[in-house]
Amino acid sequence: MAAAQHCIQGRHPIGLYIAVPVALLLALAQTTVLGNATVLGVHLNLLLLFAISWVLRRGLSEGLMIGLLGGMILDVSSAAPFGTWIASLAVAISLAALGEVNVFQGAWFLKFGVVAGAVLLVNLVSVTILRIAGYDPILLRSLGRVIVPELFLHILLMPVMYGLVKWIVNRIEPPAVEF
Amino acid sequence: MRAGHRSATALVIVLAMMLVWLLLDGVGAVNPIRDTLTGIIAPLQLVFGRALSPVTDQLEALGRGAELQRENQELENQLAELRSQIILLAEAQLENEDLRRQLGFKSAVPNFQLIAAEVIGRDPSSYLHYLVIDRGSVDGIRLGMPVLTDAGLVGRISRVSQSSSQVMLLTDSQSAVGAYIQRSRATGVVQGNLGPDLVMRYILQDETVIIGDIVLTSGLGGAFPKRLVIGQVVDVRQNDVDAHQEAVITPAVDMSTLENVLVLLNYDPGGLLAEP
Repeated sequence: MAAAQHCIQGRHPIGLYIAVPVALLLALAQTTVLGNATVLGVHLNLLLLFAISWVLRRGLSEGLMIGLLGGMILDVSSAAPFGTWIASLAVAISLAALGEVNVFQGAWFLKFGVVAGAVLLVNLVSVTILRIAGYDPILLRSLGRVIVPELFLHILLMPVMYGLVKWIVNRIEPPAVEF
Repeated sequence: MRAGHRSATALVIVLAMMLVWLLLDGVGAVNPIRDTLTGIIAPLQLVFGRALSPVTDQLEALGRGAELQRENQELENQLAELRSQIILLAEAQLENEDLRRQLGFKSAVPNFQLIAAEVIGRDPSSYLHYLVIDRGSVDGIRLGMPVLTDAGLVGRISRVSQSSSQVMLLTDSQSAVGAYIQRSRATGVVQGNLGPDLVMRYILQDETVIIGDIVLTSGLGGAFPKRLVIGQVVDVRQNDVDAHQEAVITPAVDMSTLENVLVLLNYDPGGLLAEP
């Protein structure tokens, strides 16, 4: 039934069968091999880049599933309250979904605007939750120290991730019929 | 339109669930679920990390070729110097033990019972400095136990599951360790600073701190045993109007490249931390 509904909306359910394993692998990489590496003093959030790229191409429902399952792996490895990553990714993904349906869809600057907004939201949501949970106020002072390099890094890498996602999606979606 | 409405509803439901979930997490009600998930994901992290580590090691080595060569030369020089020091220290220790025996004192060298653990995961947040290791409560790990390497102190156990544990690194902003400077015996508190370096605070103004000084744990507070190496002073911040001075410390252990650690099993962290 769900599959049929997806097909009616022009979204083949096979997208999830590809997106979810990729998201889980990216989340595992983030908590293992990529966890050792910092660029400009911050960690690279490949899962976030993948999720928002996927949302821009395939819509919110699949993006939320990616955020939920990928975020769960990040949460298990994190010292933050369980659910911090799922919540911050869900908020960022919902922002990306606005990018999918607005009048600028297809504009080159849209993905940069979306990734900038998503990075800001992920940081704000996670720092807010950490502060509520009683973590040190140093986090608020460090927000700028983390956000600026994260914005730079993720905006730089967004075209690469978006290109990869576009390539995958073009292979699973039937070509659009144009008149 | 209907799809958009359904998506918005789904988002509201997810966020509402997360709010309830976070509240439950605050009172520890979701710990069994978290432990179950950790039990599933920790082995996957172990396999994934091991499978990819040769590739990442090679990539890292390629990128740092010249730097590694220079570092290797420096390490060889240091090794030669340290070997000669070890011989002198061994002599001094023999003499020390002999004198203590004569005076009827117990050995000052603590009898550490250590268990080796492999680092299988890291906190993905830029705000938190934590590791996940492949040892848990079944291996005798308890909350608050000190974690170290042969180079020095790493941190302490902050959460324990059945087969894995979480380690709060010295560099985390929540970490605070009682410490003293080996040369001058000046005391202070070493805190994490969300960067690779540490800051030793609350050093009295009349104490002398010199770049290159070695910083050790003081044992005050009972969270760590005395005389574990923390790091080396690389900068001193002194302002005459302040009551205290600060020292910037480079940790003896490179936290970003840790692959294996040791957990000190036979140390009771002063009853400061509750059982998991």
